[in-house]
Amino acid sequence: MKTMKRLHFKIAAIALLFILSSLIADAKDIQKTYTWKYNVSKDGSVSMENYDCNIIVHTWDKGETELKLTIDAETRTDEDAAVLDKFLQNLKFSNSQASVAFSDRFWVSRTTIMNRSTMKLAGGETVSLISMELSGELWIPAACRFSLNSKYSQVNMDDFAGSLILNLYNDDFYGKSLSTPVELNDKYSTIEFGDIKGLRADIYNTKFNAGNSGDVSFESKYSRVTMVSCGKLTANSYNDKFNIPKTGDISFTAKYTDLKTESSGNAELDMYNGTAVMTKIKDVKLTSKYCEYQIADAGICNILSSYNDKLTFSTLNSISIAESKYTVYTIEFLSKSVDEKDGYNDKFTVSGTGKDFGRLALNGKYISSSVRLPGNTNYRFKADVKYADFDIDESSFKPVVKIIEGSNVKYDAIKGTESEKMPVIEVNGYQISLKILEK
Amino acid sequence: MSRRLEEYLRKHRASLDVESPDDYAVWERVEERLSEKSKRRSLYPVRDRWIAVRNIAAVAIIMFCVGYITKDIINSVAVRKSVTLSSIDRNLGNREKEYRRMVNLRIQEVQQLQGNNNFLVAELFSELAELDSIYIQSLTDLKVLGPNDKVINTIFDTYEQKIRLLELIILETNKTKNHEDDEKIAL
Repeated sequence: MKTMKRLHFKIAAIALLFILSSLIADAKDIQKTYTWKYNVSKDGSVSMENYDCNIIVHTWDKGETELKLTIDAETRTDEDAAVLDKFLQNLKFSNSQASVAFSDRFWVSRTTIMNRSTMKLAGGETVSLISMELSGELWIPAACRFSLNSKYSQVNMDDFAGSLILNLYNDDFYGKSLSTPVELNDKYSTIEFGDIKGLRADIYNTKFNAGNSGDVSFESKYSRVTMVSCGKLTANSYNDKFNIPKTGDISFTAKYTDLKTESSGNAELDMYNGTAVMTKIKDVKLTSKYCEYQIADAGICNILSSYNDKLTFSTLNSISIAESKYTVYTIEFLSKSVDEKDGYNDKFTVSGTGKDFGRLALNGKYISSSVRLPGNTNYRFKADVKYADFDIDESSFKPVVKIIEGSNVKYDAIKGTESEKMPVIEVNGYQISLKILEK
Repeated sequence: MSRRLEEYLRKHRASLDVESPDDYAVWERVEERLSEKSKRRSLYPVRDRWIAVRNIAAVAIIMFCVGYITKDIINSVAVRKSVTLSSIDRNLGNREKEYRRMVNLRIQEVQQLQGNNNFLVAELFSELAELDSIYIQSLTDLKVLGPNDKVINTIFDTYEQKIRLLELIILETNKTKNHEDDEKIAL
């Protein structure tokens, strides 16, 4: 019995010794910079696979590329440090005169539990780490084709004149000017550029900010895009916010998206449940549902289809509506005309018209409208409405035709002196209310 | 006592009735027995070797199984530890729990809604599926990087986004229903 007890005691003591020795094993620091340098033609291809490593990308005029990788790690044992050091010293990257491919993701697998990492290196050796931080500097030819795949890193990049492809995930990317268009794929990153030549982006939950740009194209979701200016803006957007003060023409398909511009060319908007705030825009073509628009100054507005929208124009040249339901149109100043072909339960308020005002024509059902004209305006009033509700000063009219048959009203009247190009106000349909106010 | 034994004792009484045992005879007999035994063992050497191999293999298999099961248990515990935020920080765990509760509440609300064939709602459901894949990716990254702020933020973002999408599904379903009703009334 005594012998057994002794045996148990010995086993327990040995186990404890093992545990203690493993816990108090000497940790080893590595702080070292490794360098790889390869020749590559100036218009060659350089790619970088970057993972959890803050990196600065420099450009130069040389026909070579160089990566300096600094590792600051604490390993569990001296042996781990030696293995890692030897591995990085012997690490080679695929290279030729035409292309070089770097990667700082040099492990096959890595697991971090309770702040302790176990890293399996290519070749099968395993290294235990208490901590590891990587940072790097990369030099590439200024006009090469550069492709960066990066994750969980901060990337700073110099001016670049070559072609650039970025695949980012959860990065902070700060780039300067680019003299060729960039191709961008990203999720969850913050991306900033100086002036860029152009952009084709597929982004998801990205904060994108740039200076002046050429034509840009976005396939975007849950993102915020701000730019100083761009050429043509093309976007297929979902739940984004775009703020670009100055744009060229716009082709915008969006759901749950907000768009803000100050000065734009022609716009073609197909929006659902979003807002557009635009200061000045040339002509606009619109297909819309559940949206709100505030446009300060617009040329010709052509509405292909509108459903439950709210459109407010400060100044509008003319508006033509093919199909509209439950939409509220507020026009503070209308230069030329309103022409609704098929309306349903719409509301129109025109608060002012100019000397070029030519036509207000509403066709449909359940339309409510009011228009304010200068007091001295001569115009023709025509109506063919069932259940009409008109608030007009008939005393100033010279009726040409006025027929009331039950609930049907037919009107053709003239205010002032008839002329060939005199403005026409015409309403046709079912249950239409119209108020004509004169200053 | 049997008759045979009685007879045997009567016949050999003289030789058996001695004061001290015949040591030589005893040892001779023991030696005979031992040599018989060793002869018997060496009769089937191949079989004996196979039995030994079988026993060793059985022990090895048992040890392998025990090792495998132990490793599996340790790994599963480790994986479970690595993929939950609560293993990093209790507050993070509580926050995740609260998000899960909110998501589940909205899922229940969505389940109570009548089926909607609206393509927008279908699109919103596909967005939810994409969020699930991002969430799984983030957990994998959490396992690689440990408690990284960016990964943790992404995980919480997927929850917030999920809540927003579920609310949109409810809104869109109700919106369609309300406008269908409005139009019926108007007609």
